[in-house]
Amino acid sequence: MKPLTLDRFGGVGTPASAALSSAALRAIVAHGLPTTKWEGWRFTPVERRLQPDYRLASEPVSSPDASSHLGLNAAKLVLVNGRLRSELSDLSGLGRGVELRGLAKGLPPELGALAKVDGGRPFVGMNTACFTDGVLLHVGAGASAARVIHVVSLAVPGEAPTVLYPRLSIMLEAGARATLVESHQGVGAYLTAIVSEIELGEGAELTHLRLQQDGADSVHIAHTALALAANASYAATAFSLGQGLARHELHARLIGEGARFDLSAASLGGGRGHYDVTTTVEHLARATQSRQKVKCVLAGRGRGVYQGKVMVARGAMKTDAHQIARALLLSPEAEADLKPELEIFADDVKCGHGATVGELESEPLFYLRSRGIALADARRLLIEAFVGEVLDAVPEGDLRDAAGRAVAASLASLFAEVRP
Amino acid sequence: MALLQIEGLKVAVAGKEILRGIDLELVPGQVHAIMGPNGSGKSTLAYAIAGREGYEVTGGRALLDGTDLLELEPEERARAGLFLAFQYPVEIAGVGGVTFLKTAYNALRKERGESELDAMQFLKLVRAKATALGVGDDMLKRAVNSGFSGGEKKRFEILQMALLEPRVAVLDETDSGLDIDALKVVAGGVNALRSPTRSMLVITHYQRLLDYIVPDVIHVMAAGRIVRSGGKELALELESTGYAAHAGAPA
Ligand SMILES: Nc1ncnc2c1ncn2[C@@H]1O[C@H](COP(=O)(O)OP(=O)(O)O)[C@@H](O)[C@H]1O
Ligand SMILES: [Mg+2]
Repeated sequence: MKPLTLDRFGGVGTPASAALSSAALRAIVAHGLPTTKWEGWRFTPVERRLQPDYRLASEPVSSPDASSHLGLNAAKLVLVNGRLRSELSDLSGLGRGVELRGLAKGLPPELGALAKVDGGRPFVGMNTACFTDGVLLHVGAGASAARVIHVVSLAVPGEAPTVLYPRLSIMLEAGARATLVESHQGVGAYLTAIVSEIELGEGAELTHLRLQQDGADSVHIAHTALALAANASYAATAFSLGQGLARHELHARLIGEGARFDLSAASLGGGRGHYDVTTTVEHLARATQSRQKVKCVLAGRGRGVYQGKVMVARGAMKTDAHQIARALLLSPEAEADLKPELEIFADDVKCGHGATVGELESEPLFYLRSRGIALADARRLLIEAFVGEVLDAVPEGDLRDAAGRAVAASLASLFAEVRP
Repeated sequence: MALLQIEGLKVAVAGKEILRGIDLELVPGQVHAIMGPNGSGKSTLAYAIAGREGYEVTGGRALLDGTDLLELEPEERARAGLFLAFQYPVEIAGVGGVTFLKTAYNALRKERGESELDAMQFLKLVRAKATALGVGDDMLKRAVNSGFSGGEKKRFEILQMALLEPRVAVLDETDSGLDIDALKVVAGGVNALRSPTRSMLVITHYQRLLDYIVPDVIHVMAAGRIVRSGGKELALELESTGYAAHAGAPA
């Protein structure tokens, strides 16, 4: 095992939490970076995508392009190279009972409680040891965030490859509601190791849209840890549209009866894009529900991965869990590894999963072409329909429009690659 | 000159010769019927003309108003004026009916050098044609052929034909799976599109359809060949004698 030295990843700097930092350091230094021999990393060889050396961004760079804000009418928190830029942010109009601020101003006591640091999670360790800023969202019992909350993470190139350690700490108390949009963009060579901890109280509801659009030389590793109390609901739509390597890990614990987890994810790309969605959903109480739908459209040498593990604990009767993963390969070199998995220790449950990998079917293509629709347009219609199912899961209006535009842009470059 | 001219057409599927030399000539305005037992090669003829993958033409020609169809991609054949109403219309999940129809319609307009219709103009046009065929807004809103009944699929095929106004239409078993009322609606739709400048090839297994769409010429196909041709009285004869007398018979 190669010892991991954090000097390569920006050094420890002045971490936000010294106590967490030393524990994290001990855990990760011994284990090194994941290799394809690690459980859960078999299909994602991350090491070879990493730069030999990353630096933490020092001081503010010039103002980045505002177009990355997606044109949403939302409260905004803009992180540039992992640091909150209040002059670019707008925290107004959220209403009573809603606290939204940068993490540098003070850490909540529960930080690190959900995203546990251990040797098997080096990127969580690195983030925990090194993060200097992030976002805190707290919605009090019964309160609702009056506006959508948009967290923007931008990577702006410096002299050396940059490492970003954004950290999100989100707590919705009983009956609280919020809608969160998270977007990631950047230029140049950078590594984002983001950790999000999301805790939902009884009956709380969080809607989460995630748009990952990082550049070709980026590595994006996201770790989201969730805990849901009774009847809480987490509904996520996640689009991995970047051109580098992206891994989106979600670990959800459905702790209270009737808790519900929903994920609709789409990974689109060609070139050398690598898109990994890895989830574990633990059904720990009665009548909990999970729905996962993951779709990949891959061109060039694009590679899609879905590893979804659903665990139903003893006593979690009436659990209702479904996973479906489908990949569409548009080139002979594209590849997908889809592995839905079930571990059931309870009786009287309804669980199902399925996975398919294939090319565009010839029958619908011929049907469309027989009506005068050009081959390229016929393919486009069918591919849009394939992704459409995920777009339809985004709340209608502003959010779906923004996601639709991002998907359209991504598909356009994908088609440019596919056309002979 | 013939609008659709087929000469000595031979087609193989999966290496097996299915059509063993078909000759057909439809002058403008004519409706021809092809009858024949299951497996005689009727759909193979339709697919080969339309350019479906896997239908390998091993001999002969197929011309639409003098243009060699066999050289063209399927979409180019459609734009040249060919339309195939499928025996089994394909379900296309996630592609809305109106989007599909509009894309096809505008591709055709573009080909003719006409400007594309916008969403409102198109909706008005398609609604007018749909109403006549009993295709409601709910059907137009659904994904193409998804969850349609047999009759709905066939009506949707005829709606496409009405919209695209082909010069040559090949209707493959458009009557299959229809009850008598649905058959009348579909046949009415087809008859409304008969015109002195359009030709149709109506493929059917049953004589029943030809009571409603009365053809000018009837051909009998057996084992990949046309074994008999005649006027509309041939249908009645076939109804009483069946196909058995023709099965495997040489031309
Ligand atoms: N895709 C195919 N693959 C293999 N054989 C086929 C295929 N399509 C048709 N055939 C064969 O070709 C013959 C003619 O079929 P078809 O044209 O569908 O007949 P019809 O439409 O007259 O019932 C049959 O023997 C059928 O088994
Ligand atoms: Mg047939």
